[in-house]
Amino acid sequence: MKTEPNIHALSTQNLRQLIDETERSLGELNAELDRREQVAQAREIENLETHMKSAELSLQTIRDFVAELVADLRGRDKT
Amino acid sequence: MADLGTASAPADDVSAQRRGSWAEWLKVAALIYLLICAVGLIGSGFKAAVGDQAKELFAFAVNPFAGLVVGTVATALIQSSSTVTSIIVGLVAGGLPVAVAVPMVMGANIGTSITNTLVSLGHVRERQEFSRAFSAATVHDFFNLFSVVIFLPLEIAFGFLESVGKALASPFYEAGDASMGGLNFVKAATAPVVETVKSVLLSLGDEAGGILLIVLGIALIFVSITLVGRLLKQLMVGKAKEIMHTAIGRGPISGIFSGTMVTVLVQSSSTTTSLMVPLAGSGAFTLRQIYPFTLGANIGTCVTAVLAATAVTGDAEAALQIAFIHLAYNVIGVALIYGIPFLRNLPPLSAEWLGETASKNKLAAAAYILGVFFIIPGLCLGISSAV
Repeated sequence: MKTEPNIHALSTQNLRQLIDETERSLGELNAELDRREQVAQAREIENLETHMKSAELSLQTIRDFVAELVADLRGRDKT
Repeated sequence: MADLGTASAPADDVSAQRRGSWAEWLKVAALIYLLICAVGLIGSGFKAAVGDQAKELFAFAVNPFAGLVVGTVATALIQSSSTVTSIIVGLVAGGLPVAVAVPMVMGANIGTSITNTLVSLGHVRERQEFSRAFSAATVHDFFNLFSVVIFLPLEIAFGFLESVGKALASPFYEAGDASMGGLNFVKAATAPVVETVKSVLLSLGDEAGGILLIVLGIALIFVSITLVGRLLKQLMVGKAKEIMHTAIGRGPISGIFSGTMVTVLVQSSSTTTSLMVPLAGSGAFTLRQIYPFTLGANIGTCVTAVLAATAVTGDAEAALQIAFIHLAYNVIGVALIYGIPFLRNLPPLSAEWLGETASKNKLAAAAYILGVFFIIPGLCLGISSAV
């Protein structure tokens, strides 16, 4: 089990060092998060042809939405 | 011999591909030529059919709210702001007053945002995905609605955009023979077709021939923009990918620029904004990340009308003025609304709230679409024509 350091017992110098390390870690974690986000975005853009097809409007989209809407409203009536 | 055969097969494929690509580009060029001719036909037809009565004919739209509604509903029904703005350019060339056309152009901006909103309905089965997709679509609607709320009163009070458009168009026509009117090779290239069709149809009489020219022009604009959009989507998907890749992680200005460029390449703001819907729906892009792309789409779509205005007959300066008004309205709108932090946050906050609400209650999504694009505009039109 991980124990938290007693910050009241730490010297000021140690406290500053701990803050520096935490800030550095936070920076690294944020950079990694950004990198992963950008990789995911690049992957989506690679599938642009597929997205272009799914971004085309069809009557089926509207029909499916109306069917979902009706099912939703019927479900609400029953409850 | 066998070696020669296998070596030449891939080379044959490459040259066949190049020939195919050239053929596609030739089709694009032919369709753009057709579009410019079609705008010329509308201008000539309108002038022939109504003569100096254009003002009287569009008296119902002198009320700016009526003009706004006409632009919104026409674009929502046709689902192409490029088509509607090109038709407006043609009508202005034929005598429609610019002041009447300005609210119509603003309405076209609102009407075009219905396409990506309808596309987002395809994500309805997954609640979180639908919330993200619907927000991504409606951020464009809210931006355009806020833009009208800011600029329409300014236009009614001061004719602000009309002055900006005039200032931008007049240098092209002030310099006499050295102006666009004197050295317009686009007009020279399209004139033989426009004049031939015009003389054939106007032989049926000014009114009947003029109406036929308008109908033919509208049909040709619709067909050419639809086909050119389809072709450019295939031809430009690689380039669009490249542009979007370079915009990743580079901030909002890069996003706006990329949205503009992609829209210019595919000649359709609906394509760009609809493309943002699945990207946001998947969760890879946040609403704040796709927001600048949609703003860029508003700017990029103005190219079609400017292109169409280069070769109209009739009041060519007014036609270029309305095309520049469309461009100025969108550029200034983006600069103002995105430039001021308080205003910048309004469209995404509204879209997030609506997305969340619509994902919990699908009836809210249906009510929003019918209300914003059809019922409220219809009521406004009814009230404004009754007053």
